[in-house]
Amino acid sequence: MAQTAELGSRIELLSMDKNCHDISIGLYEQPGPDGVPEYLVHCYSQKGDVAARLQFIAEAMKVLGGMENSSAGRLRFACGSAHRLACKRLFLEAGKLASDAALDARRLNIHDKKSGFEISVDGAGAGTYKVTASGDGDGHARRAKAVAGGLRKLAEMEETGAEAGAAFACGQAHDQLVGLLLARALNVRAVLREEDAAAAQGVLAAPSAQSV
Amino acid sequence: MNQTSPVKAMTSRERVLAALRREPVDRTPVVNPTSVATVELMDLVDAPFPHANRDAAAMARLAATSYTELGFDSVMPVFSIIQESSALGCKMQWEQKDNWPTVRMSEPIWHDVDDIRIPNDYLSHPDIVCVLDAIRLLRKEFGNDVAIIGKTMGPWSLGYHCFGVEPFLLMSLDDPGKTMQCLERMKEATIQFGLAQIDAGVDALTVPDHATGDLVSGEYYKRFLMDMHAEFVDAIPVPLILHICGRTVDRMDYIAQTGMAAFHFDSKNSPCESMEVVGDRISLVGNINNPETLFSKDPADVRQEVVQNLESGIQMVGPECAIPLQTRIENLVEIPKAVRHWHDQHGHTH
Repeated sequence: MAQTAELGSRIELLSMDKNCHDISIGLYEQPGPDGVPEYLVHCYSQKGDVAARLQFIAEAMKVLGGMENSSAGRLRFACGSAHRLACKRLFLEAGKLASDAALDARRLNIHDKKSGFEISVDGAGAGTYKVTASGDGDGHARRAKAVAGGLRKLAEMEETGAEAGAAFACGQAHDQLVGLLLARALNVRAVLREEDAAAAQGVLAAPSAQSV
Repeated sequence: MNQTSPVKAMTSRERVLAALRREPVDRTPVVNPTSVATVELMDLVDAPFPHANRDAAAMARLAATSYTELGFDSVMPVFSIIQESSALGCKMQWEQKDNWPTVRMSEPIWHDVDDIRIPNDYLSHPDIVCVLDAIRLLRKEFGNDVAIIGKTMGPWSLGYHCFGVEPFLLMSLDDPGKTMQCLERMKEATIQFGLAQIDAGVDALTVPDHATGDLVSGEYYKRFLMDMHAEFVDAIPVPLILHICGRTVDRMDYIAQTGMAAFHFDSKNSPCESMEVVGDRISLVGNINNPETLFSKDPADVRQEVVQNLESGIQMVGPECAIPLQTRIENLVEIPKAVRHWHDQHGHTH
């Protein structure tokens, strides 16, 4: 009798959770009864503290990403949209936290070490955000534009017509999500490199293609 | 295609063994000649890498999931390609749960023919004993229900591991005679480990010998390996499944002449063109693409590739090589589902 379950489609995997026995935690997606995409944080390990770890990650996704519980106990966005890419990043960020970490929604401003600027994101209504940079030096507009581009890339947000703008297609505000992704939007290339490395992990190459 | 209707219902083991002999089957078997281990299955049975490569009970538990969880018709306890090389003395990187153990080929242990020594206690090395014990455990647990496939690495692969890829290939260019001598000596490791696995209870053996399409031509295969592979067929008395990665159509005609029961082939070769080359001289197994289809795509895409193989008359369906450890279970489960669905649609019993 198989013990694996039909949990929906696995859209992301934390292959080794350093905070809990190196377990592998999956993020599964399936439509809820009303068709709204719902997400489940799941692990097949039956070790004692795994359930608490999964509970922590789900809670972190609510606090850091503004998700809520569905009637089935899964996670969903109140707007009813999938925001799949943002949700995957939210899951991976939550998985980096130790289970005793304090959970607070991130602020919508941050110090950018690369430029030395203070970067702020302001909601402009209907799911639209505007990025501004301030501080000593030149190139504020260029940096703000780059960070807005980073947010659009990380969260599948859309252009707004403004150079330093980004908008959620659902037309709803997602301040927590933007706050979480802001730190990563400062260096999108690093995020993509991290993703490429994760994708290459665990692929067996023929001896002729190995580098060791 | 080797289905004839009606064929009485078969166990998984009967189905695989019949397909290896190119005899009629009740449905096309789903076979795993290399590895279908994933990090999630490791969690399910508490058998993570690298432990599952070095502990017989963990190895058997993880191997069993191929049958119990995924619905394949075979189990394969030898997930990696390094057990023999470890026993021969190569320097190892055992890695961690989400990565494959590897041989440090940049630190070769042999440089010349006379360096080659198969240790007297080769079969007593813990990384060999682990495999043999895992096979016994699987046979005890499953009896004759499922096909147990073992693995013994061919001498070309051992050459890469023990001499280093570049030195071994350069030697084959500079001194083909010496290369043949090396292969002759290293083949003893292949044969000894294969025979030991037969004693432990395997039904068939995969023989990976990485004369891969990217570095080795078809003519090279014929010159160095074809006769030796035919020799293995006589020396190792169970059905042998040769595994070579990459584009290999240029050597399939030679491979088909070796007497091997099956060839585990890569998705870089289309099922149709491969069947055209080998005809009914050898069974084909594999071909479902790993890095794109099984790793990155959805069950619908998996199904499409399975059907393409079935329509081409491939005798056994399965992944083209060891699957990435992060592969989604839903994609793996889709392979046997798609096979059953296709047979239902075509009126074959199963």
